[in-house]
Amino acid sequence: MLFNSLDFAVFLPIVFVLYWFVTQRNLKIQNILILVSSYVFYGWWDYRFLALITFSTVIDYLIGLQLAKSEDQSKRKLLLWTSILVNIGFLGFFKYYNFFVDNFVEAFSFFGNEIQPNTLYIILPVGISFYTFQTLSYTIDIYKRKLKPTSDFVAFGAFVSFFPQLVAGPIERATNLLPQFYKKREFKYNNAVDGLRQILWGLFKKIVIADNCAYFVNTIFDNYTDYGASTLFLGAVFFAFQIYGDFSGYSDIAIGTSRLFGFNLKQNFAFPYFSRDIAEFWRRWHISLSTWFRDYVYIPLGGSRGSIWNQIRNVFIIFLVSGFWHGANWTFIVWGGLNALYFLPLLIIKRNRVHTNVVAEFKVFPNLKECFGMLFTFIITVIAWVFFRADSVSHATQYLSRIVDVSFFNIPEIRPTFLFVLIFIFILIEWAGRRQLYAIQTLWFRFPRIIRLFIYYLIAMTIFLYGGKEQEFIYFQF
Amino acid sequence: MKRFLLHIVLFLIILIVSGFIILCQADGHTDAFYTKFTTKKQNALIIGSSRAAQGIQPKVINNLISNLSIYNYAFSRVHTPYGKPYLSSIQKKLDPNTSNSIFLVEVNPWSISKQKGEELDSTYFEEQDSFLGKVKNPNSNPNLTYLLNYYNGRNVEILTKKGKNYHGETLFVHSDGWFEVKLKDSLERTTSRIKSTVKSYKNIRNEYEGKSNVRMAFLIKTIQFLHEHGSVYLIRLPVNDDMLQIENSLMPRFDSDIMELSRMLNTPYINLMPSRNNYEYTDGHHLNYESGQEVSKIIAELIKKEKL
Repeated sequence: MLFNSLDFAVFLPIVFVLYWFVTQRNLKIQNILILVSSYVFYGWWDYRFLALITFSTVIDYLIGLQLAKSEDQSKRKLLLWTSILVNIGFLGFFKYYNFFVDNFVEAFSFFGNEIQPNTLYIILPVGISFYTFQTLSYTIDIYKRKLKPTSDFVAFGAFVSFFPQLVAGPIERATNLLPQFYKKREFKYNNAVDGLRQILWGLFKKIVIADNCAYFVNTIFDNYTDYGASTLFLGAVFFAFQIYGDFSGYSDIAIGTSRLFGFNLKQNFAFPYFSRDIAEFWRRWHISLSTWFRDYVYIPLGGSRGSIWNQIRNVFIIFLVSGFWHGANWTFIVWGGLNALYFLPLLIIKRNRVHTNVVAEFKVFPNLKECFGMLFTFIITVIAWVFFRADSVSHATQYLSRIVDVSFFNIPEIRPTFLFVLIFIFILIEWAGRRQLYAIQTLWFRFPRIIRLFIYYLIAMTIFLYGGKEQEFIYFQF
Repeated sequence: MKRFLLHIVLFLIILIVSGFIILCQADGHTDAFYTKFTTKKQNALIIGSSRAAQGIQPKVINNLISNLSIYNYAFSRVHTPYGKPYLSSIQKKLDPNTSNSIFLVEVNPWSISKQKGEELDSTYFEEQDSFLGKVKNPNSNPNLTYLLNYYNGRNVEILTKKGKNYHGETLFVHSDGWFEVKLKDSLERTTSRIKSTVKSYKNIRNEYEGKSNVRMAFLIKTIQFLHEHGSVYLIRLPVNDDMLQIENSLMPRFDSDIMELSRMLNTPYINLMPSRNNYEYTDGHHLNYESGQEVSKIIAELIKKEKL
């Protein structure tokens, strides 16, 4: 079920009413409602996916309990590895099996040995990369004794499958989300209104910005040989807005929906395109995934301790693994590697934690240095996004090589004025609201309520009037 | 909680009412099909593909045949090949009390062909998943089912695409269902458009297998159904030489098949293909405004003669 679909528009109010009016008095029943609704939400795509998430939930629930009981270190390790192998095994099979088979076949044929590939027709279960990481964090945290396991199977099942963030995150840690299932949730008017406001902004990002950009991105990327350099660059810039609008929009809707049910999820995007260097960008982009890799891969590898070579190795590992997490294609690995290369100079000169505050925090406009930093970071990010969007590495390299041309200074062949205007307004609002958890959180609070409502009405009508053709969320495929 | 629900319901009502008012502005400028689903049930119909939608002008025919108010209910090659969905839509569009009326059934090889890999049987047709199969009431104004599910543009265009000369060109569905297309024409533009259409149809040709017995059977059913309400005329509209060549490669025996059908069902066949070089086309297979007018006149005259 897509957030931007009529199905969800019917599903959400039904669950909301049942949640607050029918099941409110009994926490257990309320959690059962969340569990059942989440399974309905997930099964809406394909009921067969439910078997996988159920199995993953049962395994990690049982392993969690066993881990807490056992004091024997070798048994605990065995249990942890069982959880890792089961979860990564599912992920590996459904997401990467054909990739590895194809690449082995290619490698063999390179050495003159032709072998028949045995690829399978595998449907990638939506959101598997997200809930797999979520359950993994649960068992790892119990293993590290940072978390006590739950004996409440319903609460655990609801934590794994919680529908607002099930298919595209944010990837919540058990330490943050699971305890919220133990406590009675109370309806608070301000929280619910805040949730709705965040949903509205998420829908704007997705339907107005991302879906409209998607149309031009698809046209330009699919016919890149027909266009000049300036249009190709514009296509890449549009993709930067598409992926941001798409993914951060999804996160906003997920977080907002959770707030309607009395849950608080972590911020997943913190205005990444206002970053002054690539290190800041990665602290602000897909925060839940970056911190997951930081805590469960980077730090166990030694992190930023040890020799400079170890640090470089760790940075490369984390970016390459992160790239590969996004999809079974070399394009994602190259995208990860490119970001690692961007990051290295900052690491070597030890300037990777310079910008930890909000840009122009107490000012209206940024200074020249900040402008240059943001522009430079944005441009190198756009270049990397070309690999992320392209069908293959050669597609990306050809696309980029065509951008380096004198026609870069020509007027682009594609000039959607309405989209330029929408993106401009979008940037202004995001800039004005960059100190908040999401742009419009408190942006117009100084205005009288009626004016504020009118602005929300305008946003909603813009979604209705300018909504692009319904597209799936990009991150569903990851 | 009550306060929250009250506020949200009020806000939603305002939004829904605003949205509804905007959708009510949809008209013949909105797209090539919408208004055909907003008019009342009809008594006389022109059915077929986009060639008929653009090429046969009801106004011309209605002026020449007294007491006739024929409506153009033709769509496109993709949406209205002959099959169950189109027949069912025609049945809903036609006033059941109609008798002694006139029906023009435009035929061409595409409308009775099967696409490669298309699993046609008498119960499943690919076009049933398009608006043609899904719009259950083709006589409702506004038609929200169509606008909310099948309108491809952005809703703002419902408001902005007004006036006959949008971008200097006319794309407008009249109240009689005729889709008027007047493009910015110069010899150079037309030649290039024809070249590109022919090229694209060569590719489309490769997607088709040839004659489909299932579609042919539904063409017969459609004719038989219309016969219950009046006279039916099979019409083949002209196309240019290049397009005809492509069609001949798809179905070499098309004309003889249709003539056989015409004899079998006692339905006149008006084949305008032999005079194809007398007309002009916007893209090689859609008649331009003037030629469409001329062809509509010829059809009306032939029907009049036939009727006498």
